[in-house]
Amino acid sequence: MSMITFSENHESLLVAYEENSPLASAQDPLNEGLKWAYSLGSIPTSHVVVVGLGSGFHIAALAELDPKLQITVVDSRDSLLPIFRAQFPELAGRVQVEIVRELPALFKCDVFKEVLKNRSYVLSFSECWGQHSSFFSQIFSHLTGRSLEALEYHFAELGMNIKALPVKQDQFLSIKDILPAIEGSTAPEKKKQVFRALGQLVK
Amino acid sequence: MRILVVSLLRLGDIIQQISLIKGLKESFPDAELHLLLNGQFKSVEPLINNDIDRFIYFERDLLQKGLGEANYNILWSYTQLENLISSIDGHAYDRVYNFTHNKLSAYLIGAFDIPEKRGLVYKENTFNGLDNRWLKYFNDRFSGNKSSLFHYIEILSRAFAIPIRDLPDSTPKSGKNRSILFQPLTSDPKKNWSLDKFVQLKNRLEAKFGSYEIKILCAPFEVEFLSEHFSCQDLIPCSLIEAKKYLNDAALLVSCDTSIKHLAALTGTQIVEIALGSSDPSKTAAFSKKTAILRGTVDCAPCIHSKPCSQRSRVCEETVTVEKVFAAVCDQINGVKQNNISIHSRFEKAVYTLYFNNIDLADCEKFDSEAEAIVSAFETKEVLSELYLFEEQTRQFTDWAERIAKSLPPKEYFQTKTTLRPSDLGELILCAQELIRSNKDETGYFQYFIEALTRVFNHPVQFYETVMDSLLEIRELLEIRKNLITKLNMLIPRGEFYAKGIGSLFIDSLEKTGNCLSGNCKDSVL
Repeated sequence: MSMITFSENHESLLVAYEENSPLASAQDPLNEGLKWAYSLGSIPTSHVVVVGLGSGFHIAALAELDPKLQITVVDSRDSLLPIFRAQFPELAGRVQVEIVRELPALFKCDVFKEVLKNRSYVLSFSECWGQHSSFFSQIFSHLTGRSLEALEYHFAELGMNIKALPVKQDQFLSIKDILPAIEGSTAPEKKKQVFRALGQLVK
Repeated sequence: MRILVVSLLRLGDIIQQISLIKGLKESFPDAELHLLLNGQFKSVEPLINNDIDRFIYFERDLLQKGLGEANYNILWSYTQLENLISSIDGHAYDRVYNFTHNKLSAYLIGAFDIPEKRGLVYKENTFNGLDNRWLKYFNDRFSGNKSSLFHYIEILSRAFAIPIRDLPDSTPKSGKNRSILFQPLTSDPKKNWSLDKFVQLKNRLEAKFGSYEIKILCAPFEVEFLSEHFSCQDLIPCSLIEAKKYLNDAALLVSCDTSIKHLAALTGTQIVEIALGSSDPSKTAAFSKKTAILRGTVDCAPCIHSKPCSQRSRVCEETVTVEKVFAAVCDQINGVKQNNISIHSRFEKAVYTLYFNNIDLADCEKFDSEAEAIVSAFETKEVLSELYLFEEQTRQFTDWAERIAKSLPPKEYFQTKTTLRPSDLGELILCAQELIRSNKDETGYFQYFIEALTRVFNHPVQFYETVMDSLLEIRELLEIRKNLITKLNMLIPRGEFYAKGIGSLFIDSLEKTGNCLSGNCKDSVL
């Protein structure tokens, strides 16, 4: 596990560092977080999952922009949590943080079950991923159901057993990649019709 | 009774369908009518809210966003669509009509729990509904850029046996209207007529019709662009419902292929339609007898909708001059009757109408009615002259059909083959080449036969079956043609015609009469 440190910037804000690299803009983390939150546009759900806690300024900006939004953050570095809670105490009731240290553990944690149940909207703030870009990228694709490994969990909810997809292990999947497998599955005809209709929208 | 209509096309199509929706409401006055529309066209609600009891929206953009953007769960759009289908099933509809006729709507309707489904539906791994000959024709003609004998609304109306209501002629305009409206911009630059030409037209019309006010309809976001060509006082930025009001008060609309022209057709306003680019008036002209259509007279028109113009300059646009449009506007204002259908097309329409309606060849009444409609719509001379050509063409088509039948090897021959080579079908290929070169089959009697020669089949027997099916269709069409010819010959006062003309005919003309016009040569021996 890499070393996490914190440094106070000229505005007295604590910015997290991983192996001497900042996990947010050291100069203006508030503005960076706001810019990110504004860039998202309207969010279609009342609950979102954000991949990456970092210094937490982007989470605070997101919470400020939409006061009714419930936020769950997934990160692997538990040392980030105490400073986040101390720096943004007002978010204690609205922002849950789930620490996932290894990928297989993700499929067993509560946040994953929540995602499966609600088909949650997932956001990423890659500026705070530090040295774990690949890990966080996989977390993101598992949560959105766009990885081969995660498919069985996401489609189990529909009673579908998705097997033998002609895709690469690390491919980021779209619904179009999965349609042939759905067509060949034992899924009820009505569900297949819904997928066929969706297939027409991704031409 | 509760009925759902699925209309997942664009704004112009929905506006055209209003006359059908009204017809449906009139056919089932006690039924509750619901309409499933694309969410982006909510603006049509005020145009039809008197006939529709509930609007349901298919949020296509949102679903596509959910499918295309990585942040969304891979099943988010699935869940949204499944919820929509559940809510539709919850309404317990008795019947659904598919006005959309594409794969998306066929799959969607296939997923609905509605007992009676009309139109294209995907069921048991196949697209159902194409056994309706009207829909099959619609499917063949409207998916490409082949022309159509029938207008979009006409086909839907016939396919679903829904009467068309609010035909333009039923709402005559008063002579007091003193405004001419232009709708210059379309959704596709290929369909636009030059704005400079619109300006020239406006100047000429103002000079000719001083008492008329000429205004330009536009969407609010088009004002800035249009104000470079027209003065701001001449522009009318408006919503769809406001546009309807302006059209209702106008004497005439000059428009390219826009949804506004369809709105004008509904209000009974006279229209001068400029059909350019991919616009095909044979399918989707303003559905009104008060429309004068001007189209680019070039071989490449109409072009394919999704492709850019293949020419160095927009030649179709160049052929429609200000003079032509000005003349058409003058004719419309002066009440000159428009006839946008040629007599040959009218003959063919009669044949295909009888064929699509699965008419019994012995049903004299139906043949009489089609023949009478032709005779009443055109001058006797015109009918006679076309009838001669029609008879000649029927003979030619019959010869070709017989030649194809003779040249087609028996089914057993194809059963023994695993692949087909051109040498196996030499005579059929020659026949097809002759057919194409002759340029006589504009309507497409032999279309399926020719397509069969270019298609790839899994097994040669499928080729045989396709050609046999196409021959069956051709023979039925030819029988209908022959019956129609007989009826027309009986209806046209040919003897009277000869008698009337006899005083002024020269001897050689009389002899010529004896040699032509089919029928009995003895008729001329008076």
